[in-house]
This record gives sequence, C-alpha cells and structure tokens, in this order.
Amino acid sequence: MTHPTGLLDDVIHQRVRLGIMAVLAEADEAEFTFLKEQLDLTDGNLNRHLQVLEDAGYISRRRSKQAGRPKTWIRATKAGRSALTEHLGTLQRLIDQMKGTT
Amino acid sequence: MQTEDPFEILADIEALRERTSTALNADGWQWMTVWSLVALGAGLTALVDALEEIAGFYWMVAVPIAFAATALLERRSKEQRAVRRDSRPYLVVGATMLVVNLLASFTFEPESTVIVIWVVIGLGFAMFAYLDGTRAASMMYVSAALLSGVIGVLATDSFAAYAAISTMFAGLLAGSAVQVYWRYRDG
Repeated sequence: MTHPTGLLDDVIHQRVRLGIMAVLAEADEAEFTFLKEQLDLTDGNLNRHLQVLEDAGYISRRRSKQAGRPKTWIRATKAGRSALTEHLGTLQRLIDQMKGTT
Repeated sequence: MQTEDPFEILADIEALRERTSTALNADGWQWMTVWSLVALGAGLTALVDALEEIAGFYWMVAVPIAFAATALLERRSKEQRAVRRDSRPYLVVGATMLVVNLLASFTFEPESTVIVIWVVIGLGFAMFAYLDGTRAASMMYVSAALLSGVIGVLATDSFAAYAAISTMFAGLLAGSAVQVYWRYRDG
C-alpha cells in the first residue's frame, strides 16, 4: 500500500499554491490583487506561482477592464478543483495515520 | 502558510476559506433587508384592514420588484468585489421558488396557499444560505419553513397564521441582515 506522502500532488503541495487553490475553491473567480493581499505576496511571486498552476491546467486567467483599469481574474479549472480535493483528502489521511500512531 | 505540519496546513486552508467566504458574503445584508421588507409588507396586508385590497396582488408586484432589486444589488456588489461566485445556482433556486409558488396558487385553496408560500420561501432561503456556506443560517430557515407548515396545519385562522409567519420571516431576515452587516462590515 502506498504511503499517503507518495500521493501528495507536488504542484499543489507548495504552500502558496495550496493557498491560491483554497481561495479559488471557495470563490468562483478571484482578482489578482485579492490573492496578493490574502497570501501576502508580491506581484512577481504570485505571478510565478500562477504560472505553475496554469501550466498544470489547474487554473485559468482572464483579463478585463473595469473603470478603465486592467484586471486579471483567476479561476480554478475542473482539474484544479479535483486535484485540491484529492490533495486535502491525502493530507487528512496523513493526519489520521499520525493520530493512529500517537 | 509557513509550515509543513499537515494539521497547520489544513488550519491555514480553513482560515483562507473563511476569509474568502467573508469577502463573498459581505453584502448579503442588502438583499436580506429587501426581502425582510417584502415579508413585513405581506404581514401588513393581512393585519391592516386598509391594505386588504392589496393582499390579492401583493406578491405579483412585490416579488418582481424585490427580485429586480436583488439582481441590481448583486450586480453592483460584483463590480466592487475582488472575489466573485457564480450567481446561476441562486437564480435557479429563486426561479424554482417562483414557479412552485405560482403552481401552488393554482393547486391549493387560498387558505392553504398563503401558508405554502412561506414554506417554499423558507426552504428557498435555506438553500441560499447553504450556497453561501452558512450552515447554521440554512438550518434556521429550514426550521422556519417547518414551523410555518406546523402553524398552517394547526391554525384555525389561516390569515392570522399568515400574518404571524410573515412577521416571523421579516424578523428573521432583518436579524440576519444586522448580523451579516456587523460581522462583515470591515471585510
């Protein structure tokens, strides 16, 4: 039987990316600045993590203009939502195993 | 999010979800106030003799106005928020409430319809609260819907029961609006 740690998704397991996915799982769409503030990141740092998630097919980005200002909206894809659910399930199993051994 | 401990990771995730939910629900007090006024108006049409004539067409006028107001508030709120949720499930629930109540008005006697309306509204609000992720509020509205049904069955004067249930819903919604406003005013 595979140990739960072997089932952790490396793309999502990184803490900032896990945070991004957690926000996007709750909301349908979040604006770039919202994610930046919630996760306390710089523009460049957030962009790097978004790129990794986008390359994995876990998020999509769309650009729009609001009152003349450009905005970037980010949403989780179906694959991203499933990956997060699976990942959190694995973490929970890990916790259950830890509880079982203490 | 500076930890590898799965306990803390899950706690951080929960905190982030909570903050996102706060940002999403911050304007909920506005539509609750609108529907509280609708419920209060319904109660008044049953209680005040001078408003008796309005009772027959009250819902046909009040509901479209309230729905339009809710849609406008939601649109304005969406433009101002940096986080959004899909409105379609809310529209489906709202449309279902309308259709079921319309069908009920053709199916039941007027005395029963006035109670059925509130049972359906209570269950609809419970669904809205469930979609908002507020389980406690959802249970509160399910209880209110069930209580409406019980009052409707036991009451000898269905229009007095209707007035009582309307006032109960007006109070519940106003109370929820105040609670949401105070809870999320800084969000």
